[in-house]
Amino acid sequence: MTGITPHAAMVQRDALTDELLAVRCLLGEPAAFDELVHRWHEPLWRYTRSLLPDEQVAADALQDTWLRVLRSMPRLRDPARLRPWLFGIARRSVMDRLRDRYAQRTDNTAELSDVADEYAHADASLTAESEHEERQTVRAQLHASLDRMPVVDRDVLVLFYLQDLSLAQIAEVQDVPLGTVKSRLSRARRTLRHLMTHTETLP
Amino acid sequence: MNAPTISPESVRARLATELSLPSRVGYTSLLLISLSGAALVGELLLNEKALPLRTQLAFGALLLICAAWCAFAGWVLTQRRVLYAQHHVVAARMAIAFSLVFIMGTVIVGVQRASGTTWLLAPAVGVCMLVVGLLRLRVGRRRVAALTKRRAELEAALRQETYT
Repeated sequence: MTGITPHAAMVQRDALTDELLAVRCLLGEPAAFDELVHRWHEPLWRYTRSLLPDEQVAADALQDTWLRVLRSMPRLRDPARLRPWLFGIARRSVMDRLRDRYAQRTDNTAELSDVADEYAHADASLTAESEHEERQTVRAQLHASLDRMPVVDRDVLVLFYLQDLSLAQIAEVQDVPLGTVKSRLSRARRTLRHLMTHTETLP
Repeated sequence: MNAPTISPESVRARLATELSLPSRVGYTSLLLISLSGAALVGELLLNEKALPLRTQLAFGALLLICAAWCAFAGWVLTQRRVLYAQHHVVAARMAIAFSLVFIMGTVIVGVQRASGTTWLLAPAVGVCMLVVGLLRLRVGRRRVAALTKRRAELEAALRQETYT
């Protein structure tokens, strides 16, 4: 594995493990579903919980996510796409609940679908190495500020920094073009920086 | 962030119920039986000329009931108890077995009791069901073979990664 960093090797191994799990599930092997739940329950819980303020609603969303996963798994054509596919399902389950919960406040969900590309220029220069280092730094800040961020920013930051999804995978999860993900991420970083600065200046 | 209020064990238990094979076999049987029933009743309605109106109405109602069960089982198998690759192979084998029994039954009854060629309609429907079953078996086997091959490749790649 010459020329591959330990982080890249780990990412590659994770991708292979996920694809193997998806293939075994597609074959209909019951043990593979147990392993799928074992591997992805916590990450999906962290994702749904980070977007839904109510713990019970987040638990409902998680349960619903697993049922949807089971029922739509045979339609997963490319097993290598398991990770974005899982988060895409979890996101739809969360959005359904947000819609129900904030039916009178449509701004959040509308924002999730229609963020303009005005910040698209900011992230194009990230290399794989700098991206990894940057993820580590922002991750620590994110944990402290997550609850105070708008849902639209939380969504993209959690997927990128806490769940380690690539920009292309997030585009797949959110069903939007890559440029839109970049603009959302850029805007979310600004919001996070603003919150951090604001917090640091507090007595 | 707190641990999930819903445990992985409870999710696994729920998914195990959803994934149970008897449930899938049950709905596949329901689909095949209702399909065979619809074919038989439809054939009787078409071929029996001198049926009283009441009998025709009763057969019509039976045909509707069979079609409704067919639609219900089809919906369950595509939306609720979905079939995975190996389940498709099992379902196709069941369909082939059902079709063969159906064809043999209709041929035996037709040869013994009917005159002319109109009795051939029911076995013809059975042959169509058999062809569909064979095609589904072929598609299912190919899918299983492709997934099994990919599984072996991935397992080999992961083993290699472990050793290097």
